[in-house]
Amino acid sequence: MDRVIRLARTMAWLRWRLMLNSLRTVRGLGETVGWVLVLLLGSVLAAGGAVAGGLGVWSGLVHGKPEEARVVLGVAWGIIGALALLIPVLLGEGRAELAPRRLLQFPVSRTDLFWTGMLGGALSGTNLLWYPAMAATVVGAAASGRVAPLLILPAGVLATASILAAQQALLMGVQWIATSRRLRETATVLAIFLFVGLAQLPSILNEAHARARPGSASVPPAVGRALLGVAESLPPVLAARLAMPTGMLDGVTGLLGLLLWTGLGVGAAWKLYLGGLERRPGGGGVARPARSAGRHGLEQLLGVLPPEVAALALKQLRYTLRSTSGRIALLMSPLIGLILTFMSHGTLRATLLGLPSHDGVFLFLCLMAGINVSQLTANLFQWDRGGAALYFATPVAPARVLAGLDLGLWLFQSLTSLGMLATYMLVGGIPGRAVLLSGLLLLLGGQIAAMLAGCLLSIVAPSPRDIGTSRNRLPLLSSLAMIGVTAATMLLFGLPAILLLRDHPGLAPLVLLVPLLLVAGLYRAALPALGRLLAARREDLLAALKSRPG
Amino acid sequence: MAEAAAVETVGLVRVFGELRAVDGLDLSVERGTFFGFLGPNGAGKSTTLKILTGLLEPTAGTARILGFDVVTQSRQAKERIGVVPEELMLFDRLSATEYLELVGRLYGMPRAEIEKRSEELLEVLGLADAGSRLIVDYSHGMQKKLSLAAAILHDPEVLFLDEPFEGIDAVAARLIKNILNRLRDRGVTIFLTSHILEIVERLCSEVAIIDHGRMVASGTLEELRRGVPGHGGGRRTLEELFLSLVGVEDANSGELSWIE
Repeated sequence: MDRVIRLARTMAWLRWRLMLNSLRTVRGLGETVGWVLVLLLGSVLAAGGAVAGGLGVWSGLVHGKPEEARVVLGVAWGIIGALALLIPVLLGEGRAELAPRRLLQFPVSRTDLFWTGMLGGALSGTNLLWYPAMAATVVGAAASGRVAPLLILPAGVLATASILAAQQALLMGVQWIATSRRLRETATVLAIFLFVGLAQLPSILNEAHARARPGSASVPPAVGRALLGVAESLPPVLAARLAMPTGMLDGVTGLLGLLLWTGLGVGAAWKLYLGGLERRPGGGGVARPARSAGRHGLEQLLGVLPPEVAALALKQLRYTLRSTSGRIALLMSPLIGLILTFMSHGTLRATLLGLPSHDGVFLFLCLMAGINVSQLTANLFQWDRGGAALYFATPVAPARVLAGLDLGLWLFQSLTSLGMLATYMLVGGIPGRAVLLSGLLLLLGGQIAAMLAGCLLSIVAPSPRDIGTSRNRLPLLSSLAMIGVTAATMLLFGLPAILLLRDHPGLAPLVLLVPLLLVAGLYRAALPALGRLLAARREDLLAALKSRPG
Repeated sequence: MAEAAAVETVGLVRVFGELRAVDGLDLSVERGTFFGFLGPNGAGKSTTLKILTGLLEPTAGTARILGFDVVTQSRQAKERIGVVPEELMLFDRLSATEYLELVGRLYGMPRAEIEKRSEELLEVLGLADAGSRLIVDYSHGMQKKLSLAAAILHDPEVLFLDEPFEGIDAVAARLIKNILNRLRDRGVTIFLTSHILEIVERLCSEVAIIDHGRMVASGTLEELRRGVPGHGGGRRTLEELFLSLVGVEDANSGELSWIE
């Protein structure tokens, strides 16, 4: 028994320590400041949650209609449950350091480690934040006189147990995903895509619905009924049912439902725990062959270029297509095209800057497509790590290194641009020839301007990034510079395009050729100097790329 | 006119802030030599290697590969060398085949030749089945073997190897040793740094030992075994000589209070 208690205490300590250390490393605070901050913030949050939960439930039950009493309690426990599930994941409690595999080298059994992990998890810092709120809702409900004290207590305890079981299963799931690079990266891409997609979904659906049947409800009744059915079988609602049953059968249904959820949570946590132990670290089963990015066709296309430039372009394209941010950008591009199509036809006015809104938005889309991967263009070496040494150890002119990497990114950017523009034109219609040509020249001009500034920024402000995460924000200097590039593109290409397309549409593409040739010439002329700069700064670059990704 | 040495440095200096990592190093390695470059941690071995392979700029002095100055004629020098650095310079999101293709093309090799040699190298190194897998999924030993494959793909005249046997198993080590011996037999100069003195003793015909960026001993193994002036005489192993030159005091300490 001593052994289990000792292990449980160690697990609880580990969770606390990791949470504190994450504050220290992220914010650069000292340990004492970290403790004070955590205790202060935690106390305020826990007390605030308790007051809000207790008073909210008491007030809702006393002043609300009797038939809404269960909803009040269910919503209160639902909010607490959602926070209990989300906060540990967002704070990184499911991190790899906690993965049980690491602890199995010590004299502990798998089962002991699982149960003590569950117990330690229940006593983690983040859980101590919501326990007071949960207790306060129970007290508030009992004080309201609407709920039998003998039922509210077991309902509250079982609601807490089911939340904890679900939370541990979620954290084990995060750890399980973390053991496989491929799963981790796919999960990141899907999560971001779903998050952005779902955030935009209501406006797209409402827009489409309003256009199809003006005046009708935005959510069909069948969908509403299905959603309600799902909500009623969730633990907080079942717990409210147990606390305020309409009859014996209702109460028993609530009780059994809660026990089932708790059992399912613990069972899922156990399965994921075992799965995490059996998974090969880092690999996640037998690695599948890498898929080459349109190898043969593209290689033939690049065959006209010097071989080293073509090889580097292919490398950069492959890398970008295999990166999380690249995959997200590629997935998002048709979605952006779709959203802007609806904007141009729905929420925007008929004309935009004197142009029909469809044309105006098309030009805006071209500008956006030209700069939408600037966080990659302005940090060319971000994923290269030690590989970057190859650029300097092989007999390749540094200017050609830059040209090759730029070309690879340009190919990728062309794919995302195609995704955006093709969706926009397929759904909303193809703009007139002059607008189409002007837009494409604007896109190309923006791309070359971004590449020119991007090379310089990549050399003077390199910033290593992890290819498996979506975090690839630029350093401040580079961000400001790329905003400048966007402004310059608008001034050089966007403004003449808008002015000419209003009155002399046929002239616009011809006039836009001038700044395009200018920017392209400047890029070509600057490459040798940028190459010399790259060679001169190679030591700083390689040292920067070796540092821990930000 | 005498043929230029494979590797030659004269008064080579590299300073990092206050630290003189390489401090006036004079070195000459004849063509076709299997050369062991030894020293304790922080002695300046990797810095010297990085200067010779174009990754670092010397603060002072000159370095030449086959007569080509590594600063002013870097392209000609790089065309003739292959490198297996300690921190492997691999692009881990490429497959082995893609990586070798990239390397071959950076050396200007024809595509058919790259494909032929890549296949052969992957086969010999036991990586043929893993050729299409991403390098990130490779074990350390597999990455080392791939790095060696990339270094010899273009048939270099001088091969630089920084700790090639670190972190690899006995089978891979034997394989690498066999390949290196074959390369030496056909006249390739091999410049090797390693902490494993037994391997150096077995493979290398000439050795140099540096400490604090300075040369403390150099010569053929036979010359060194006969003794270095001021460091005892008699036939000694390379390890004994190395310890006497760079830190016998440190090696003899290491007593722990709870281990009698």
